[in-house]
Amino acid sequence: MNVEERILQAYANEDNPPPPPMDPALMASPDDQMLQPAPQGQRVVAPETGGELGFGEYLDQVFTTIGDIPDMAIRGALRGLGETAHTIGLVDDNQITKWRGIMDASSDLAVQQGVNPVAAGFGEGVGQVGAAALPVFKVLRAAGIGRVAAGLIAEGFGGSVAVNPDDPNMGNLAKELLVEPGSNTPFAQAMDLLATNPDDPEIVNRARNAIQDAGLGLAFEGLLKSPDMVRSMVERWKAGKSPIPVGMSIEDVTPKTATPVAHSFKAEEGNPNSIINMLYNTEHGGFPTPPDGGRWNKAKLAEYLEKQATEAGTRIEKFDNAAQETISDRIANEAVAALSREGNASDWYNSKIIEMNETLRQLHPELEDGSVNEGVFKLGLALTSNGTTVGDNLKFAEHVYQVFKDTGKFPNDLSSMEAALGGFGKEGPILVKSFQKANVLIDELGVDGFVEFLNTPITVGELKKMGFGVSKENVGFKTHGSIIFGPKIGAGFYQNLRGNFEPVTFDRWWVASWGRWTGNAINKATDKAQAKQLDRFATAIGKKYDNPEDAINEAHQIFAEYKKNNFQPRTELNKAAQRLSEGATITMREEPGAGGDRAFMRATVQRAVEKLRELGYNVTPADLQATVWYPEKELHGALGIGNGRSAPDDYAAAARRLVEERNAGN
Amino acid sequence: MQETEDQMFDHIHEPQDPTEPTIADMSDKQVVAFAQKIKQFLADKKGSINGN
Repeated sequence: MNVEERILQAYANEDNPPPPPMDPALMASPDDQMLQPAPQGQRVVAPETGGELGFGEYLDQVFTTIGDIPDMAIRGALRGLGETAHTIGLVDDNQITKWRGIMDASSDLAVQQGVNPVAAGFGEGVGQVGAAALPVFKVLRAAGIGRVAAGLIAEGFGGSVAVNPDDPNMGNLAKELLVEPGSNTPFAQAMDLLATNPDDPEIVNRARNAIQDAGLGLAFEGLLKSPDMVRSMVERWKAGKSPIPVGMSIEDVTPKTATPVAHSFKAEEGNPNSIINMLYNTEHGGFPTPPDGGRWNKAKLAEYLEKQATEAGTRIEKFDNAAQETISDRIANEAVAALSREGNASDWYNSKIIEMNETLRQLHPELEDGSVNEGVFKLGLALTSNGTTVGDNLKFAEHVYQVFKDTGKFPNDLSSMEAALGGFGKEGPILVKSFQKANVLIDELGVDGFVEFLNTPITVGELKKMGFGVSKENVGFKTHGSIIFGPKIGAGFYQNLRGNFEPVTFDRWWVASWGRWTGNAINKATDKAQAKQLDRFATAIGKKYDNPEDAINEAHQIFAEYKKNNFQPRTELNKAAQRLSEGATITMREEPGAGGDRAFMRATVQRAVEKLRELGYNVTPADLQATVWYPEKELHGALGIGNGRSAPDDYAAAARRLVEERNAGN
Repeated sequence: MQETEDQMFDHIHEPQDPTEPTIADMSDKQVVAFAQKIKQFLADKKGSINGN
C-alpha cells in the first residue's frame, strides 16, 4: 500500500460527511459531551464510514478541519499546561489521568464533528508544545538568542515537559502511515528511534519528544502567525465564501500586520530600508537573521542596509540637489508614519519643554522665559544631561541652580556634588571643568554678559578668530555662543531648552538613520584615506612601518587605551590612532563627516520640514529629529541591538515629579 | 509612544562625543583671553545694531 492509499484509508476510517463548523452555542452548552470525560483508558471512537470519501465529502472535511484549527490549538495548549504541571509536580498522577481523559473526549468529539483525525492530532500537538515553548521562546529572544535557535530550544523544551511521554508522537504517526510493515529503510529506522514506546523509561520518551519538537521549532514563527490566517479563512467560510479568494494564494490571505502603515511618498514603497517596510509592516519576530546566522550588531546591520540599498537601486551615490529631494522624501515619509501612530504629536518635543518651564516656576518663580536666571538653570540642565536619565538630569540641574542662587557661581567641586547627588561616572571630570570655565567667564563678563553670549548668533569663523576652534564645521556655519560647551550639549540641547528648536543635533542616532536613508551606513576608510591615516599615525608615533598591518595593530592598542580614558588626553598620537583604528574596522557610521556633509544634512532637514508643513504637519527641525529618533531606536531594539532602554524622554513629567518631591519636603 | 512614566524616566541621554572641542579643554588663561574677545564681540554687535 502506498502513501496515498494509506492516507485515503485513514480518511475512510473516519466519520460520515461532516456538518458545517461547530456551533459556538453548542460548544458552550453545559450538557455538551465535551465536558464529560471518557472512562479511563477508553477513547470515544468515531463511527466507521465503511468506504472512501467522495470529493465533496473530502472538501467538507478539509474545511471543517480548517475551522477547527483554533480549537485544536486551545485543546493542545490545555493538554500542554496539564502535562507541564504534572512534570513539575503541581498535579499528581490521578489528576493528570482525569485531565487526559477530558482532553481525549474533547478531541474525539471534534473527530466526530468531521475534523480530520491526523490533522487534529498534529494541530493539538503543536498547541500543546507551544503552551510550554512560547514563554521559553520569549525569554530566549529577550536574551538576544536568534529566532531560529530560540525556536529550536523552546520547542525542544516544550516537547520534553508538556507532552505525556508515553503518548504516540510524530514517529509513531509516521510509522503507522508511511512505513510498510517490516520495512528496514533508513527512514523506517529513524522513525523507530523517534517513536515513543510506553515500555521504555520515561526519560527516554521525553528525550524523543524533545528531539521531535526541536524540529518543529524551525516552523515556530510560522505557527505563531497561523491564527490570524485561519481566522480570516474561517470568517470567509462562515460567510458562505471560499476560504481562499479566487485568484489568490494562501500567502495572500495571511495578514502581514493588523493595520499596515501607508507610505505618504509612493516611491518609498519599494525602498527596503524604509522604517515602514523594515519595522512597521513587518510582523513581530519577522525580522531577518544576519547573513552569518549569529546575532545582529551595528556593523552587520550597516552592511545589511548597504546591501539592501545597492540591490534595490536606492543607494545615494551622489549628494546633489536630486539626492536632497530623495532623502527629504524619505525622512518626511517616515515622520508622517511615526506621527500617525497613536499617541504621537508633531510638537511633542517642544511642548514638553514648555510644560516643564511652567512647572519649574512653582519652585523657582524667577525662572521666567528668556531671563538670565532661566539661562543659568538651562545651562546646568544641559551640562548635567551627559549620560544621565531625564529624572536625574532635572534633579542635578535643580541642585546646581540652587548652589548658583546661594553663591553666584556654579559648583566646581566634584566630591561635594557627588556627595549631594551621587556619582557622575566618567562624565564627572569634564562636567566640573565645564562649570569651572563657566565661572571664569562669569567673572570676566558678569552673569548677564555670559548668558547673553550663549544666545548670541555667531559663525564658526568668528569664533575661530576669537580663539575658539569648532571642528568639522564650515567657517560660515552660523551657530550660537553656547557651542563653546560642545555641539550636542551647547549648540543643540541648550538651544532647544531655551526654546530655539531650529538646531538639529547630529548625534549617533541621527547618523545611523542617515546611513539607512542613504544606503551609506558603513564606516570604513577608502584606500586613499587609509594611506593618509597611516602617514599621520607614523608621523605622530615617530616610526616607519614596512607592513601597514603592524601600524594598524599598534593603532588599535593605543585607541583602546584612549577610549578607556574617555578620550583623554587628546594628543595628536591618540587622535591619529583613533582615525587609523576606526578607519580599518567595519563599523556602523555614527559620526557625520566634515562641514560639507553637515551643511548638506541641515539643508535636507529643512527641505523635509517644508514637505511636512505642506502635508499639514507643523514641525520644527528639533521636533522632526525627535520624531524619527524613536523608530530608529525601536528598529535597533527589535533586532536585539543595544540595551532596549529606548523610550522618549519627558521633562514635563520629570518636572512634576520634582515639584511633588520638593513639596513633600524631600 | 505609549510608554509608562517609569519607562520614560528610563531614557538616558547619550553623552556628547568627547572628542568634540569645548571650553573645558582651555586653560583658565586662555578662557580669560577668550572672554575679552567675547566682550569686544558683544560690544561690536550692539554698536552695529545701534548704528543701524
